[in-house]
Amino acid sequence: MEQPAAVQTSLPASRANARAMSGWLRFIGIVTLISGVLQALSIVGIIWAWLSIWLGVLLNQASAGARGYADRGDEPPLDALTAKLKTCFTLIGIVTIVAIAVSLIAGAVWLVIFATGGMGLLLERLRELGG
Amino acid sequence: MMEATPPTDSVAENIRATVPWLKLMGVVNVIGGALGALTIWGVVFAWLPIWLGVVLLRTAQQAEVWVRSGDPAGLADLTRRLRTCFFVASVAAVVGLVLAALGTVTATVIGLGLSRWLLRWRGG
Repeated sequence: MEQPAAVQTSLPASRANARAMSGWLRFIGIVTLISGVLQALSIVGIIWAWLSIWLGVLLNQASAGARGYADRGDEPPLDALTAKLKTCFTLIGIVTIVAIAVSLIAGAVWLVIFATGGMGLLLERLRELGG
Repeated sequence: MMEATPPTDSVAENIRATVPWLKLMGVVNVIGGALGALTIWGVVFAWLPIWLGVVLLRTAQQAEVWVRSGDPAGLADLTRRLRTCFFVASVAAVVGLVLAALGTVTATVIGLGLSRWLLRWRGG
């Protein structure tokens, strides 16, 4: 596995970028956290609300890491920032893969229902139920 | 010229592990934006996921370059690209919040109008 030849982490430009980044990270973190709490208030949303809350907390922690790195320019906060970002992107990536898979399965199920004439049967059954 | 410090395995490893997810999110956002652009209303906001996707792919590219070289300027460039990523994501969040607020107001107005019409219809 390739390793970096040498790492200089305290470049002023990097720290300035980290300072600017921390604000945006905090904003997205708070929005995600609030959306998670709102989802948790609904009955169905509680199943996935924890994901948004977790992501919101991670983004806020990444923001704290970015601010720490911008202030001090040493390695521990940069390490914390990159570790939290890694977890954030991994979480978002896994959720995206699951969402795509669920969408494809749902699409396939609908396709089968239409192809086998199940929609007509379903409507007929509904009409019967409606009297 | 800045003095180089010994390799920071932990930071480099974190960045290396993030690269595939950055690429995945970049591709998904570009494809999602392109599919959105095919719809009538989607074309208004399709530029946002496409922009985010392109920025994520460029960040992934820069992350790979930095992990290979460990160049200080490369880290500055990487943090700049990450900053842009989160800026674009924040813009998308603001647009999403505005659309959600507009949707709530529209749904409320339509709902109230419909209920009034139903009451009049039943009464009349």
